[in-house]
Formats: sequence, C-alpha cells, structure tokens
Amino acid sequence: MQKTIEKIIKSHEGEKGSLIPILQDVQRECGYISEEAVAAIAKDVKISEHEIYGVATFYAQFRFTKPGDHLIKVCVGTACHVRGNSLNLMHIKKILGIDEGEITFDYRFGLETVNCLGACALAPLVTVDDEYYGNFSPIKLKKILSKYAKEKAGAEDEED
Amino acid sequence: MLTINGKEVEFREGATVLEVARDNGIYIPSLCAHKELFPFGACRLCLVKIEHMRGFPPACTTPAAEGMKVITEDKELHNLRKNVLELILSEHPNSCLMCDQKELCAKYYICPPKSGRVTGCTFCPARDRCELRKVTEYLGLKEIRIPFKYKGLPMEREDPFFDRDYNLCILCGRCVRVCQEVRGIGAIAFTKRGHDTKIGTAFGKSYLDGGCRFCGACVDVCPTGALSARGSKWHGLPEREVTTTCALCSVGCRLKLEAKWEKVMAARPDEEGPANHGQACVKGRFCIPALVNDAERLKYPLIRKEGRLVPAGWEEAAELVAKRLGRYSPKEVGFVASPFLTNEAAYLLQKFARVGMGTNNIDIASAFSGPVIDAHVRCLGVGAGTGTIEDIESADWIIILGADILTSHPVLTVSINKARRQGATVCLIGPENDIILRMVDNLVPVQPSGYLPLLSGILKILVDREAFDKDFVASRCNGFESLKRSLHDMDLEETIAPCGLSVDRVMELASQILKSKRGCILYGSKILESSNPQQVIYLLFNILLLRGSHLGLIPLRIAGNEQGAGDMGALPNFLPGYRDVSDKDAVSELEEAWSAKLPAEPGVSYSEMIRAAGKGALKALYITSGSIPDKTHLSQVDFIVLHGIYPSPLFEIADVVFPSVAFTEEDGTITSLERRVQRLAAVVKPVGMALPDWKIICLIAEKMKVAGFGFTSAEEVFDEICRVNPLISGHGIWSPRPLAKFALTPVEELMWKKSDVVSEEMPLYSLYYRGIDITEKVHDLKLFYERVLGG
Ligand code: SF4
Ligand code: SF4
Ligand code: SF4
Ligand code: FES
Ligand code: FES
Repeated sequence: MQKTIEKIIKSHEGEKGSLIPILQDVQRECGYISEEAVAAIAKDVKISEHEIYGVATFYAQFRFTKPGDHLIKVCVGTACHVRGNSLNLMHIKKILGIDEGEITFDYRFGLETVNCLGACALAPLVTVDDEYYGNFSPIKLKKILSKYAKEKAGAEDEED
Repeated sequence: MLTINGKEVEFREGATVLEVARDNGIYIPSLCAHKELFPFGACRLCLVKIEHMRGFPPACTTPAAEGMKVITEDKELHNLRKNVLELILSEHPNSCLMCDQKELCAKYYICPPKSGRVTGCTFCPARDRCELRKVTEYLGLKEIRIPFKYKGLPMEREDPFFDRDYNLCILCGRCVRVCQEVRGIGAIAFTKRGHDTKIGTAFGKSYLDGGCRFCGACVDVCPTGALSARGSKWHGLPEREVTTTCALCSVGCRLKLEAKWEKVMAARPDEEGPANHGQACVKGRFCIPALVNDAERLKYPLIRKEGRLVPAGWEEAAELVAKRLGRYSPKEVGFVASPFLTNEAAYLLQKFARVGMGTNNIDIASAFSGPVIDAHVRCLGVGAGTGTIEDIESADWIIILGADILTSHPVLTVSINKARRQGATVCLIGPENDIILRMVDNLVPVQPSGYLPLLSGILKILVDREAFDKDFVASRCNGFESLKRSLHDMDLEETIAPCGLSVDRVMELASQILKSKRGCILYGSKILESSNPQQVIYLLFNILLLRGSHLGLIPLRIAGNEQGAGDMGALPNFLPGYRDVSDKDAVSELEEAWSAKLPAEPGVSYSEMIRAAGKGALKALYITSGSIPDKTHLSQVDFIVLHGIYPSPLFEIADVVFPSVAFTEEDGTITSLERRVQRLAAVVKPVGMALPDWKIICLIAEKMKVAGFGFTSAEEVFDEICRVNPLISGHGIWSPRPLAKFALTPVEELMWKKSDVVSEEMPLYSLYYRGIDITEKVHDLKLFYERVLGG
C-alpha cells in the first residue's frame, strides 16, 4: 500500500491545490484513507496530518477505516421502504452482526444504507458491490453471502 | 476617514472595521476575532450595519474603506446578536451564565466549583476570564428559548499539561488558527462536519502522538473554559500578577506570573513582551510553578560538620567561607558562574573573584559559551550576536544551523514563521523533524562534521562568482585578499565532499543567500560537535560580511542569562564589557572605579578549571551553578562552596551550601540572546531563609572585609554596572560600537583543527535550570521531552 500511496503522491508532484485529488486517488486505489496515507501526504504537501484529516473529514466521500471486501448497500428510499426493505435491513444486520456504516470482523462485508438507487422497479433492492439483487428477501441473503465468502477465500493468498 | 455611529475616525490601511472600532474605543461584541489571528468570521456576533452594503456584514472580516458609514449598535443589531448568542449558548452549558444566583455565586462561591465536568451551575475553570460571560452580560441575555443540548463528549485529559472539554467549545477556531498561523504547528484542526464538528487531531490521536508542542497558545486564546491548564485551573483569580522575564532559556519571554498564597500559581505570556508578543513555550507557560514551588527547595544554609551537611545560620556559614577562602592563593581558587545568575550576581561574582580573591579564574558553566564568546569578540569586539528578533522577522533569508530550534528556542519559530509569511526563505542545516520541515523551504541534512566543508563551499561560490558586496567589503572589511587566496586553490567538489551534498545543491543554497543582504543566521550548540566550532562561527560571519552587513548573526545561547553573564565579565580572559584582562586602559579604569588592584594574569576556563581540580591544582571552588556535570574530578578539591536552589549530586562533596532564590523571587536583570537587558521582578518572597545570589556574595565579601560590596538593592548594583560597563547603560537592547573594520577569516587558517572543547559537558537543550534537570521536577515535561527527544 505504501508504494501505491507514494506513486499517487508522485503523480501529483508540483500541482497546486492537489490535496483533494490526491485524497481521491488514494481512496480509489486503497479503498480508504489510512493513517499512513495521511502521514505520507502531510510530508509531501507540507500541511500537518491534522489539517489534512480535517479537510478530508469535511467531505462525506472519504472513509478512514478499511472497507469490507464487499459492500452491501440496502436501499431505504420510499419505494424500497414501502416494499419491506427495512425488515430486510434488520435481518441483514442480525445475520452479519453489524450496524450500518460498520464492517464485519473478518473485513468481509460492509453495510450501508442508501436513499433510492434509481431502480425502484426492482424494489426492495439490495446491492453487493456492483451487483443488483432485486426483489430481495431474507431467504436470498444466505445464498448471496456464501457466494461472496467463497470468492474471497481464493483471492486472499494474493494479498500481502 | 470613515464614520462609526456618526463619529468620524481615522483608519490604517488594511485594518478591518472591528479593528478600527476597537482602536477608537467602540466595543463590538466578538468571539472568534483575535488580534494575532487572521479574520475568520465564524461567530457572527460582530455583525454591523454599513451604508450601501446588503445585510449585516461581520465587522471582523470587512476591510475598512474610505467614506464607509458604520453603525455598530441599534435595537435591530442588538436583537440580532442576542439571537446569535442564544444559538451559541444552546450548545454551551449555560446555566452559570443564566442563573438567578449568579451574583451571589460569584461572590460566595455557593456552588461546589471543583468538579471534573462542567455542566450546570457548577462553575467552570474559565469563570473568571470567560469571554462568553462578558458578551452575555453586555447583551443582557437573560434566558434562552432554544432547548439546551449537551454534547456529551468525553473529557480529554490523557495528555500532559492541559485538559480539554469540548462540551464547552463554541468552535470559534481560535485554537486551530493560533496553532497553524502563529505557531506553525497545526497540531489540531476542525474535524468532521455539521453537528459532529469538533476540534481534534487526525484519527483522534493523543496530542503527544500528534506533534503538539504544548506551548499553551491554544489555551491562552480560547475564549471559553474548553481548554484549561491543569495545574492552575481551580485557583480562581490570582491575588496579584507580576510581569517578569522567563529565565529558563535565552529568548527572554516576558511572562505574567500569577501569585496566590505566596506561591507562583501560573504563568501567562505577556502580549507586550518585545521578544514574545504574547507567546511562550511549554517550559515558561506550564512548568514554572512546579519548578519553583518544589518541596525540595533549599531553605537554609548548610555547612559540613563531622562529615555531614547540617543546617546553619547565614552568619556562621558566611564566616566559615570567608575564613577558608582567605587561606588560598589566587591561583588555587576558581569561580564557576551559573548562566542563570542575574547580571547583578554575575557582575558581583566576577568582581569578588578579581578584587576579593585576586584571581581571573572565573568562567560560565557552559560549554557553548566559550567558543561563542571568543569567536564573536574576535569578529566584532564583543561576545554577542549582531541580530535581534526583529531582524529575524524582517529578514529575506534565514539560515538555521545546528539547532533543534523547535525544542530549544520554541518562541523563535514564531518569528521565523512571520518572516516566512512575508516571503523569506528559510534554510535549515542540521537535525530535522516533521514539524520543522513544514517551517523551512530548504532542508540541508548535513551532520555537524559537514558544517565546515559546506560553509567553505558556499564561500567559494560567493567569492568565485564575485557575488558579494564589493563596496562593503572594500570599505569595512579586512582580510579579503587572504580569504580569496585561501579559497583560490580549493576544489569545490572536493571541499564539499564530506558534507554529502552535490555541487548543485550547494549552488542552490548559495544562490538563495545571494538574493539579498537582509539575511539572518541562527546557529546552535550542535556546532560543538563539529571539528572546530569557532571556525564554523568565523565562516558564518564571513558569509554575512560578504553579503554586505555585519548584522543578523544570532548564537542560540542556551541558558537564561548566558549572554548577560558574559557581558558582566564572568570570564577568565575578559573584564566587564569584553575588554581583555591585559587591556591596560580597561584595567586602570576599573581599578579606579573599584579602588582595588586587578590580577594581571588571565584565568583558566571552565573546562580547564575542572581539569585542574582533578589534578589537585585547584584547592577551592566556588560553584554557583548548583551542580556540574562531572563531579568525579572534584574529589581532590579541598573546599567547595555551592549556591543552589535544589539538592544536587554535589552535596556529597560540598563544604558549604548557600540557598539562593529562583528567578521568580528576585529583582534584577537578565540579558537575552538578542542582547536585550530585561527586568526580573520578584513575584513572591524567597523560600525559607534563601537569599539572592548577589546578596550572598556581598555577605561573604563583607566578612572578608573586601570593600565595594555594600549594596542594599539589585538596582544599586545595576547602577554600578551601568557606570563601569561600557556596553550597558540601562534596560533594552545594548548595542556594540560597530568596528571600523570587520575581520574576514581565511578558510585554511584554522580549518580541520581539532578543538579542545569538551562538548559532553552541557546538554544541547535547555533542560536544566540552576543545575537541575527540569524534567525531574515536572513530570509532564518528562513525558513530552521523552517523546520529542526520543529519549
Ligand atoms: S499547545 Fe501549542 S502546539 Fe499544542 S495544540 Fe495548542 S497551540 Fe498547538
Ligand atoms: S477550544 Fe476554545 S478556542 Fe478552540 S474552537 Fe473551541 S472555544 Fe474556540
Ligand atoms: S521560549 Fe524560553 S524564555 Fe520563552 S517561555 Fe520558553 S523557556 Fe521561557
Ligand atoms: S427506493 Fe430503492 S431504488 Fe428507489
Ligand atoms: S468576531 Fe466577527 S464573526 Fe466572530
């Protein structure tokens, strides 16, 4: 990860007002803004890590904890709500043992709610990463989860 | 010219409406504005009406303009401000501001004030200075219609020195701004947004981990009780406040010390201080009470009886010293002057050594001071720098060499930041750390062994390119030809090789110096680790001279009065005012003034003294520095007198110990690194029977029947100093008569010669006060220093 961050910082060398673009790139490449990333950026742009953190936390787009490998989004827009997605949400919370905005202990899943994904026809809608699971029900959940859990097991060895 | 409330007033270009109003005695309520900080416009209390401007512009962010018509007060504005304040107070515990019992409470303290948490009527640590209270009272707000919301944030007290209770924070941003703008640290920031906004650190790190320097600037600007110094938050208003000078380092900050119950309770930086302008550092801001109120402070004289130190009266102890000292010949006695002595004490100590004991064996207990004084006397005629803090602020380029200035002279970084904001380039040669990195433009990571090669290289570039001030060099400098010759055969690449930099890098550095002549060079005690510290100073001085000025060289002296002790002549080779002991005129002048004969032979230096003591050549030592780093040498010494304020390792071998006073307990003067003579004022009475050092010396002189020591106050001593010391004529910055010609020093002359300075003798940071490690007395400081010094 350190290398990725260094590369990103290098690519913005000499730019004015490059802080936000650097942060965006880091978030895209690493999935979140880590302590190490902030320290490295601080050194480069000569702004203290606290100021950078202050700027970054001002924007909703940045996150500061390692995200789960798979992000589950539960739509709580009107259509999905009316069609019972809050019950689905409760169920997912119970199964995963986490609240919204949190990730599971094994970093496998993260949970978020969103307001209308623009696919109300599929309501109640839940997405995992970029996959849409329309007409969602608790029965579907187990199957979906196990699918992603398996996928993960194979990929893990490549990580450092 | 503009009009405020119908009154025509003058204004200064660039001032804000708020500043103009204040300058003219018109009050506009404000909370986020602060005169040391850039306008911010966060609290919205200073809203005013301005003709031809829409809405209610904030006075603090609106620049004053010609012909403006401002209204600062009417019914509408009053109500508007009340509403704004109500909103602020709906998130700030406010019952202490709204309570019916408020007046009685302030008078009789009917509620228990000491609670870890400020909520309801329980009084807040800031109650006596709270600016929110002042504004509330001014606006006459009696009730708040919006439901109060307590933020319920945890109290933050895991860091040293001060507590943080962000439930009281009104998000005025003063702390964040002072830390970034003035101190250049940026240890805190606004984090999160909306209702979650809170002053904090990255990832909620502790301040210790986050790089806070504990300077206390944030505590001092906070208008509420959110930030409070732990040591003094519950003492209430002091009985009295005395402005004096901090003696813990050589910057010379003016501090307002608060006293209650005959104890120093707190210290706050004085806004009028010419060196510090309302800033201080961790030591001055937070450590003084613990340091001077320490339970171990010496309270009565001690004399050795049957092998043990036992309490004695002043008479008995002084007589003993007088009797014993009388036995030794001038050569057998040595005097060690503490660099924390006042000018008065240092002056009398050297006078006593010379007149009373007939010896020049006197020196300052500091390894740094010797090389500095010798080199500066040679270049300038006086053992002092040529730069002032103002020079730093107005410089175009600044070089900091061999100093961790953020730790050793924290307040100077405020001036360096100021210069940098006005466009100065700052170059740091020497130790780096993350924070100082943000304060400099050019980091030159060179070890002390590389200082000489690097500086020689720069000189060569300046001379070869003829990039020097030819008029100045021709008219005011000697030795240019020999300097040029010494550089002529030098190969640039070869010369700078040991410093590990490329030729290009050194060129770049040189070209920065070339830019202008308003330069300033600050050098610190790390030069002692170079192979020849004095040569480093000569070369630095060469650089300044070549750029066309002798001004701007500042040695970063360590202890509080290292400068003054030298000015007073507490030196083996110089009389007061840096006149050589062999200078016939000076000697006869002083002999007349003192009506006494002066010794002709130069004395031995501090390190030579310690060495001589080890060989048994010194029989008696008079030590005013409380302790000295290596006492093993001293077992051979027959008789040791000690001035101190705490017990020290020297107690094992001292024969007489005199309790002297801390700087908070005496009147007198000390001189800062910019040659500024400033007053010390007694804040409280001395502890126990302790006496100021100058009085102790007078007492002994009197017992020995030495004439010329009949002083009754420090002022009388200072008067005599002004009479006999040609440099000193009163308080303020003294100025050396500039030499007609300055000496340029050829590079080869002294180069690469190993000097005999013992550099282990003094720590490079001013961790000490009167021979005692301050961190031993102030635990929080230990925590902090362990972190920053990595010890
Ligand atoms: S104590 Fe000084 S360095 Fe620390 S946060 Fe406050 S202003 Fe900044
Ligand atoms: S802590 Fe004090 S100075 Fe800082 S924002 Fe809050 S109220 Fe203002
Ligand atoms: S910088 Fe020096 S003089 Fe100023 S408060 Fe700190 S120790 Fe005292
Ligand atoms: S409400 Fe769920 S997708 Fe529109
Ligand atoms: S003082 Fe002007 S907005 Fe705060």
